[in-house]
Amino acid sequence: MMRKIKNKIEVIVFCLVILVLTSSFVSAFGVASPYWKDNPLVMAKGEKRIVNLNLQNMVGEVDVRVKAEIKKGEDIATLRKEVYAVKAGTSDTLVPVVIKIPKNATGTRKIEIAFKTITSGEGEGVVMGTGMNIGFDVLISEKVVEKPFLSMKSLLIALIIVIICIGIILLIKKNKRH
Amino acid sequence: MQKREETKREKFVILSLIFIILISASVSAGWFDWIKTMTGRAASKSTNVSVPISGTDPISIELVSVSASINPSEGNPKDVTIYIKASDTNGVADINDTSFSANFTKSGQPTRENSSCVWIEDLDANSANYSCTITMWYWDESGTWNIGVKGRDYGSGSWSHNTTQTFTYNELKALVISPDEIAWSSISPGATDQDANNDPTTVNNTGNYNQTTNAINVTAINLIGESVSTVWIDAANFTVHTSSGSECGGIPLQNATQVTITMSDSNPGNLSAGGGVGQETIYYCIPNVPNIQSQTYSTTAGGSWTISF
Repeated sequence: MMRKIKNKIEVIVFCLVILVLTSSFVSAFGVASPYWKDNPLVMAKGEKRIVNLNLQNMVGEVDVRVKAEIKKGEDIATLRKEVYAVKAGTSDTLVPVVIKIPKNATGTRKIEIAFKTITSGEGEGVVMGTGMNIGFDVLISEKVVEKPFLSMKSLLIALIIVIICIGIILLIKKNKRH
Repeated sequence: MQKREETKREKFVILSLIFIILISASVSAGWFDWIKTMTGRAASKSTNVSVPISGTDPISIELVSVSASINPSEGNPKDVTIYIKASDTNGVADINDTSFSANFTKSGQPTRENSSCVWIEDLDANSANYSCTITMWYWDESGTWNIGVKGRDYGSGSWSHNTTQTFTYNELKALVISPDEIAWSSISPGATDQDANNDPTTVNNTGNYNQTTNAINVTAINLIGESVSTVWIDAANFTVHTSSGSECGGIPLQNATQVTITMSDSNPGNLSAGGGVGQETIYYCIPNVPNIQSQTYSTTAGGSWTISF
């Protein structure tokens, strides 16, 4: 019972804080990452992986547009697009970062991605926007990941082509008999 | 011959009657109730009957569904649900459904717990499924958290524990600034130590990013004249600091360059606690106002400044 009362009080105070915070601010967003300065990513040579960063706009009442730019690690990391729309009250906007480690890579690589709100500078003074720098190390292990000669996708395409060819041959034979 | 037939028939009838009576007794208690009423004792009396099912084997607990990593929610609590399977060789009825509790622990962090997990369903004769929802907060430290679950049965009464699993609470860099514009009242060319008139910028940490120094950066842009755009105030004319009174001797900014405020602290914490918890402040100054044309200079043409973690 006491715990329920304590939880209720916490929620009420939390709501008051959010009310105060949102009464005069404009710019707010956040980026969650599964890797950070003290929590590096470990990958093998030749490995490709997609790391999803998560954009959030849970405190603001205004939709924001965020620009992402790779500052470090451009040789191993790529983004599919630059600008992301993050609606107010959401925490599910994903930013996939494609990381490919070359087969001859060694040691540790750094990845740093800068996120910045796209804010008009129009105003009566010095307008402020917000940004986040997401950086983490990629530790390259000695294990090498070899790509298979034929991927599953290629095998499937080949199989479909074979089936189509067999179908065409049978159709031709049937027409000849008639 | 006829007599033998009659005897056989009689035996058959008697046996059938006995059979019918036995069947009726097993299907309906009506017959025996009638007999019972002739005992001379009281007509009826209600009584509670309980059959405790107990066994000496303790339960085993298994966590069946745990996310490997969880993102905090900006400025909000985050409910994390885990699912438990408890098994008892003495039967599922021996499991104390209301005994289960769970917690998340990390060294140096407050324990997050739920002391009453909820029974979902019995899976089979010996096991049942439970769920526990525990609230994590946006300021809880990133990293590996331990999951602890306990529960017990009726029979042995001893607690069983499972502390084998962990999850990663990810890092969330998130901030809210207020106000979102900084201004100076009318200042004269050549004036010195001109503080902004509506600072500080309060940086509210709505995530769990934890950095005690070099936490906050400012990327400034030259302020372009609104009437004559060929004249501007270079960003290098501005200095910043986290303490009031120190800004004019603070860190100089640079145009289109991220400058780290070395003494800044991200200070993660419960913003609702007040007293500056979860907050940092930035003060601004123009130590020496350049001798340039009098007009309004702003970020309208050049773009906004950026405050970042």
